[in-house]
Amino acid sequence: MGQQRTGGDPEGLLPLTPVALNILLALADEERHGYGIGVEVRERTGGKMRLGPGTLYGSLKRMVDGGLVEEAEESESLPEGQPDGTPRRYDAERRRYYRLTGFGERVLAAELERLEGVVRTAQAKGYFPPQRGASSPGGA
Amino acid sequence: MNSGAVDDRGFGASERVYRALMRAYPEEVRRRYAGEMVRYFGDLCREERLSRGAKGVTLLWARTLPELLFTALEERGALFRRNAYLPSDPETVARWGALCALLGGIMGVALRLISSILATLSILTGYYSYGSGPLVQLFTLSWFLGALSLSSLGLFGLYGAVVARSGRPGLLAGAGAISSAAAAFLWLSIGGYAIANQLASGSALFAPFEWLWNAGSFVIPKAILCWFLGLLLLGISAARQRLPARLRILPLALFALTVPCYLLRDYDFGTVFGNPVIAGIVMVFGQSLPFVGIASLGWVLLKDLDADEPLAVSGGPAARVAARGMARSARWPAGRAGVLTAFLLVVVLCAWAYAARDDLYRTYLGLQPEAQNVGKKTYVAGQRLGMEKTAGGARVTLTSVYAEERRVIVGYEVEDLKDQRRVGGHPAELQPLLGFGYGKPTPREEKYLKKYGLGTDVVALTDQSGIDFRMAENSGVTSEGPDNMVEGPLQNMVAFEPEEGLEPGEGHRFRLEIPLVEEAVVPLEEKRLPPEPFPGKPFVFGFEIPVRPDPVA
Repeated sequence: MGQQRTGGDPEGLLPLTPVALNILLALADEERHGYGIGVEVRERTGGKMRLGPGTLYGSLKRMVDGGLVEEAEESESLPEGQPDGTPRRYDAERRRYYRLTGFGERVLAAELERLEGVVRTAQAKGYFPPQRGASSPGGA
Repeated sequence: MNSGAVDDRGFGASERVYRALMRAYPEEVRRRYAGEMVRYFGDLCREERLSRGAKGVTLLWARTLPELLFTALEERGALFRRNAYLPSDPETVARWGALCALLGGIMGVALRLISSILATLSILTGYYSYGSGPLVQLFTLSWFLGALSLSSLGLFGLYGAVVARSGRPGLLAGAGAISSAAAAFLWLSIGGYAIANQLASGSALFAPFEWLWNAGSFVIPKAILCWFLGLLLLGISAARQRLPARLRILPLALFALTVPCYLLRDYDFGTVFGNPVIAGIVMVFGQSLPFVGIASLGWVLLKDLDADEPLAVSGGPAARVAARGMARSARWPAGRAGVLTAFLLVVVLCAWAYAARDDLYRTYLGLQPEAQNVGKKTYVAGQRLGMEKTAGGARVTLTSVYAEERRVIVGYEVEDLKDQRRVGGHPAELQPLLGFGYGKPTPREEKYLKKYGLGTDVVALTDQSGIDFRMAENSGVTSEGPDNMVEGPLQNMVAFEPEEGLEPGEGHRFRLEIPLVEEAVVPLEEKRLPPEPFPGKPFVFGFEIPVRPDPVA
């Protein structure tokens, strides 16, 4: 195991890579195993980001070592986690789940704030339509 | 169900292949994530199969393979950057580096002193056992460079200092270490090459070693290149660290010194060695041992230690403790790597010894008293004959012969009367075709003669009672001029030993046959050309001299 970082300045890790940001986002609402993270990222990005095993677990390894993510208690493999729900030979095996740490949440928040600032700047310069897709200011 | 079984087999195969490819990742990654990564890949396979069939699986593999390659390189690069490939903590590396530097310096100085003493003795006594042919020059060059190379151990001391100061080798020093390890490996090859050449230099026919000559000619420039590159990179790396000025300047100065030494490689350092076996052993061990150390360090450095923890930068006690913790967790301790390296080297040396066993034995025979002292005393005590024969543009003169119970020493000259003799586009000289069989070529020599159409004869001596003689190894003395080219008549003195002892007495009749070949004189770095037949018959001399009852030396 790598040395885990539990504190420090989140700003020091910014900007995050797109892969890191999307993995953190995937874990923002619930803990997931590797395949769950991959599916969530792919669906959320409309298939534009497909994480290969090396990319996904390389990033997870660095985030675990950096203290942004931690391994959750091992859980039983869930049927809904399978692509087709059919039983597999390792259904009885355990999958490793990952979740954000407090430090990871702060890093994610800092990155989103940074991105928000970028968007605000772009909007102020007229390069970016305000509230794209919103029909009214209150509909955001 | 059948379809599902087939599908499962298909996924299973993909997973097995992917699991095998996981070897590309460092063990640390494999240990922590191999199972999950394989399972994740299997999930993706199943998903693609269900949605797009075999095409989807193919596309998945097409995406995954380059991803695997790049992420594996990234992980290994990360390990290297955090020093996880180091065999031990920086403090230990620095300590051993310093010991290497001390040992290398002492050995380098000692070998140079020995070399100088031998060269001086050789000049003072006029005892030139091998002439100064290309073999000896090559031998001397490799020995000289080997001794000089010992100084590179000092750079490993600097490498240790760099690591100790910065806590990591950095890319430059790492590349220098890799290059030095490669140079050490190549130098080890040259060690075998040089000793075989040394043994071969006592042989008349070079055929058994021709492949070695060609291999060595290929290896030497690469070794020198790697060596220089390693010195340069380590030197630059050391210079970039916050080290004392002397340590920063020394490696670059050393590198600067090696360049003129390399350029002087064609300089004839003279004949140095008297005993070929001892010289060969000293050379091989003297030249190889320090590089064993370098190779071990390079090898261990590159070995996938896959440490659990990144090596902390040196500086504080805590960092040192962490570093030691890493060293303890290393899967391949340096000691085991050293044992394995030593074992491999013993295997290599045994292979060399086995391959050269015949020549070693014959060289040993050639070192017996009967075959030695082909020098001034026997020449003085010999009979002056002055017999001369001319044919085919060559003149052979039998100048002196000395005979005793167990040996006959023959001195003769070969003079080339033809200008511009050439073989394969190179200037050529006439050489006697010497062999080691009793009155005829050995089977190996026969193959050689047949291969190049050189006839069936070698220099052979017989006597009145039909006793055959063979040439004693390491007894041939040949004169040569600058640039390996004979100037004036080629003077040759050879010791022959009879199959059985001769009866001392006056008026013993002998018959000497001297076949010649045309030998191309090629630069050292070029491939040696086979000789061509001399356009004429062997020169035959009959003479009568006394056989002395007591050896003169």
